[in-house]
Amino acid sequence: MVLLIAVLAGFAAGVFRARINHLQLQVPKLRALGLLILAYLAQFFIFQIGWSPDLDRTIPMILSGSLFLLLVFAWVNVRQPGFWLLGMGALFNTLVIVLNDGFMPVSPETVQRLAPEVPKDALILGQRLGTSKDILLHREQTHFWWFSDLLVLPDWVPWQSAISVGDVVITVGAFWFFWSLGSSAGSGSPGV
Amino acid sequence: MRKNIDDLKLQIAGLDRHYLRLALIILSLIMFVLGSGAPGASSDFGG
Repeated sequence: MVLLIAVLAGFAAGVFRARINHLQLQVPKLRALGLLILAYLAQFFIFQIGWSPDLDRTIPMILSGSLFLLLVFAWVNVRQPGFWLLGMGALFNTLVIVLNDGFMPVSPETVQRLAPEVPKDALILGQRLGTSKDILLHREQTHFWWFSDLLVLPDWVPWQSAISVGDVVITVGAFWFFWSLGSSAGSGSPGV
Repeated sequence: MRKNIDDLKLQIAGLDRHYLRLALIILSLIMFVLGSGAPGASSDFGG
């Protein structure tokens, strides 16, 4: 939800900038959209619909494959504004997920900051958290822990969740992309 | 008169195409961000 709001805020900022500049919002041509759709659908089926013969075994494989496709998508569009940040954020998340058995690690301390009412003994190390991409691991057990879900949003944000450095970089990249569409320089390729 | 109507039709078609492509761009970014971003462990444990 937080990332979705960031995308919509970036879009609103781009529209605002275009209005100020008396321009129409630029519409760049993104390449390899098929990869993006394939990557998204794979995650949609396993996380939203729960379609898989053996979820906990296949999720790491499907999630890693999907992230790889997203990295390729970011790479082929790297000339678009903000896409190098989108790609870098995706790379951070992919690295930490692939190196930690196909799930995004989150520490018990972070979970307890988010949900203080949950008793400590209910948090079982190595267990997936709900239907999320997260797995509960101590910081010492986590490879590249600085890329894991270690950041907690400020209290005033209504949708509390743990986010990673990669998520922050992706958010900035998405905002930058839309912001740049509101200028005459716009995008790496001509608009309509 | 006829030419003006044809011009207007072309303009509307161009505008439709512009907004369609804009919607596709927004949808693409949403798919990318939701796919590559990994926020989790929300306070309700739903992810």
